[in-house]
Amino acid sequence: MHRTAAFVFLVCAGLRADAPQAAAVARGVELALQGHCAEAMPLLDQAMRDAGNSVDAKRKAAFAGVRCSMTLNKQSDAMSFIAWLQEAYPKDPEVLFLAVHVFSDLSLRNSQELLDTAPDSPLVIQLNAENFEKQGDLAKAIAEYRILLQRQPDKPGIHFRIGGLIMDQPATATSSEEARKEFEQELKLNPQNAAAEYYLGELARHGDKLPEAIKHFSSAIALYPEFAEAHAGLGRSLLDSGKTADSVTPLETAAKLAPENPAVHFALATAYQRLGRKQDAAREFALQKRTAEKINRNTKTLHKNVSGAETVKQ
Amino acid sequence: MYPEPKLSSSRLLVAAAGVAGVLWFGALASPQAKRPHFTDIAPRSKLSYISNNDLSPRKYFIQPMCGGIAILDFDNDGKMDIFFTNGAKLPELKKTGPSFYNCLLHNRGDGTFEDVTKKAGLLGEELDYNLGVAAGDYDNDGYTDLFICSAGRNALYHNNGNGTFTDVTRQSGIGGKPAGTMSVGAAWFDYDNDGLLDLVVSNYTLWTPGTDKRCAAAGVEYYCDPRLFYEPVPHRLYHNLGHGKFEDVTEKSGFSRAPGKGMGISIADFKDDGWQDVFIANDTEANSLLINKGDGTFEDQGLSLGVAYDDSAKAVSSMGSDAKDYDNDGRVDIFYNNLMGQIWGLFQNLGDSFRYVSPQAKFNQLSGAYSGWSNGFIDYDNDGWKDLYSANGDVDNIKPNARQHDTMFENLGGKTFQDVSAEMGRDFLHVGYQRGSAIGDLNNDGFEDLVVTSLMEPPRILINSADNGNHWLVLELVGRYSNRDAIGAKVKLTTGTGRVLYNHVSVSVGFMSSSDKRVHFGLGSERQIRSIEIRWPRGAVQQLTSLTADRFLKVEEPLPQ
Repeated sequence: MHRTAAFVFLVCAGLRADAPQAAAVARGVELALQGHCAEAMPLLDQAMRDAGNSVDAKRKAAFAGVRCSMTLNKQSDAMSFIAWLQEAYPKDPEVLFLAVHVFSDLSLRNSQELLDTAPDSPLVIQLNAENFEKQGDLAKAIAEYRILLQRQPDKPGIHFRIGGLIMDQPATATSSEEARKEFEQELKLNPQNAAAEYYLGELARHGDKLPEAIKHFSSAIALYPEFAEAHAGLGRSLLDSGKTADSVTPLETAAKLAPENPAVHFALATAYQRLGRKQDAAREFALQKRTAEKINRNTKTLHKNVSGAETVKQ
Repeated sequence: MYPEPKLSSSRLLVAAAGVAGVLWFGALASPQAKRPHFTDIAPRSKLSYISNNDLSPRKYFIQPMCGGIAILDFDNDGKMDIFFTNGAKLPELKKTGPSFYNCLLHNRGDGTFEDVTKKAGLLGEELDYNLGVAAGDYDNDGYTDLFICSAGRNALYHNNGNGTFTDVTRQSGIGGKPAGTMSVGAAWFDYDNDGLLDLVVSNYTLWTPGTDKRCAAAGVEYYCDPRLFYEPVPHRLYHNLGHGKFEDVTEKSGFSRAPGKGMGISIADFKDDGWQDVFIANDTEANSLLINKGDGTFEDQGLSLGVAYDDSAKAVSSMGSDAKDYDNDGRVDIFYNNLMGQIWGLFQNLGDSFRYVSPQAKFNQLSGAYSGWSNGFIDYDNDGWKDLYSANGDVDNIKPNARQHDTMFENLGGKTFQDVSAEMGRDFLHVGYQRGSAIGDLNNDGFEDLVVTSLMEPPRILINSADNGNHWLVLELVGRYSNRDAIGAKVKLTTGTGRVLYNHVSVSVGFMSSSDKRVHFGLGSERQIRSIEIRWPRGAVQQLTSLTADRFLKVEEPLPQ
């Protein structure tokens, strides 16, 4: 059976069965399939290094290598195999799926290691908060972060996390103000936090305080010039302020950095239209249409695939 | 081109009924009320109507939609009457008995209503599961007619002027649509400015009880997600040819190129170019804004004008819609509501595009807990700012907070809104599965009232307590060259202190419903009106000056010389 599997592998990889390199790769994969990871790993490592192997052969070796690395708890090896796969196959669903599992498993293992090694550490509290966050229990996550702040009031990043969680919860009459305070507190501890500046900009924009929004978005961009959302926020705030000509550059930058964001294309199209640049406006409206339809098409497909709907027989 | 208007006494009628109205309902008002509130007067009348969607454990896709409303004065006695549509037995899709009949209530003027459905010939026994209703005088004979949307056959009822109606669907040519088309809402408007009301119908999908999908979890059925099983279909446009005849112009008008899962329809001249445009809220699809090009064709510019999606370009479950100028800047804005967990959409008309202002208006704080269906801009406190009413209740009865109360979001100076529902009175806060709603002044006291349907319950007729002392003006516009209902006429009112208010004639409102066609203005504390400018659909501009508040004005359109 394993001989057959190795044969199929060789055919699929486009290798001649009698080539010594191919035989080594096939043997490594075969051993991995049998669960003999200690024996398989040197062969798989070699398969990845050997320039004579095809990309497809290396892909199979890398998949087997990831599984054996995880079995042997060789985390850095697993990361190396994954890194190669992501580089060679950046949009491959199987690679993405494997990466999700590997990183999730590594996360669990290291969490347990942290708990075992330093149960009193503030990092354990942070980890706990992050776990609540992952489970969607945002109120408990906020409470846990606040416990952490009692122990480490000057720890950067925590006020920012709380602010973000407040914004992720259903909005209340006071939530914007509460979030704003957290982001401001964060900036006192860490004035380099561009994301905090960005969120302050968004809060100001939603409150129709456009000059304030422009100030925060500009600060975010100064800290992180490649911040697409901040460029978009700045452009939209300028557009809403009637400063159409000024809005074009940040919106163009945002469109360049985040070409799949339909809201940016819409804002840029509107700016062009107001400036009489009809062709540019038409191009951006077309991009808005394409990107918006893609998002909604993907959403529909997602709902169809994973809705869990049980259709009753008629 | 047009003669200087002269207001003769025959055209300026102060409604005496308004005084009587205050008396009938005055006893219900609390003098301490900070804001006007609402009292349900439906229990005072003998009403057998309930919005019967044939609720059962077997859940059909159509059942969450039932109970369209029209507020109209069908007998021209000066008092607004009410019409309700109703469901049908499923899967038979037939009105198998009186509990499924439609209902016409005649306003007696004393706070009670009389069921005159049978006498009027509007029971609809021969129809099936009815949804929306549109009221309009399509033949300009001075009597309001009714168009009723259905899962099966749509129907046009001609008002005979003697308290009866005749089903003229077959001879009118307005009933045609692809088999199985579920028609949800309809709106009368004159798209080609020929003085005759045309009709737009929002369609949802192709559905029959036989093609209905069944969805269940752990053996319990629930209403299927429309994204999974139901495809959008084109909305339809019918051109009024005169003499009671209509032509289906869906293809040649361009409507066929903008399919959707149509719910609410809102009519307005969004571009202020003299041609009426159409906004259609589509459930789980991009909303449509069909811009009238003035040559008989329309182009869906929802995307490029910024109303197709919310701020993140995601399609939401758009339900009912309304289009009014909420910020009094002279441009008509758009509102739609949607389901729990989403944010209701408010789009400010900037002239060349729309700006999504739900966060600025505070809807992200106010609306997330509610599933809204019908809705409408209503200046319930007559302060001159149009507030937002929504009829709420979840799609299904599964979630613990599925039964919901209505909401009133008060407009604070055309910028933000605040939830004042808790002050609207116990009857307003009734929890259930609210669906249709329409706005109108049922007791002619100058304060707008509400009529609301709820699944498997009697309707509520919510009378405004009208007790905050604010002033008002109501215009009844009568077209003579334009369509007689004056649908599409724009009104600009300047108060004595120079405050400028805007409104326009549009009856299609919210979800499946049709409101009082009169144009209402709240004036706050002001009693004097410096001027009123009326721009009639066919171009005439009429000026009225130096008027006093708290009256009903009937204004006829000047004829071109």
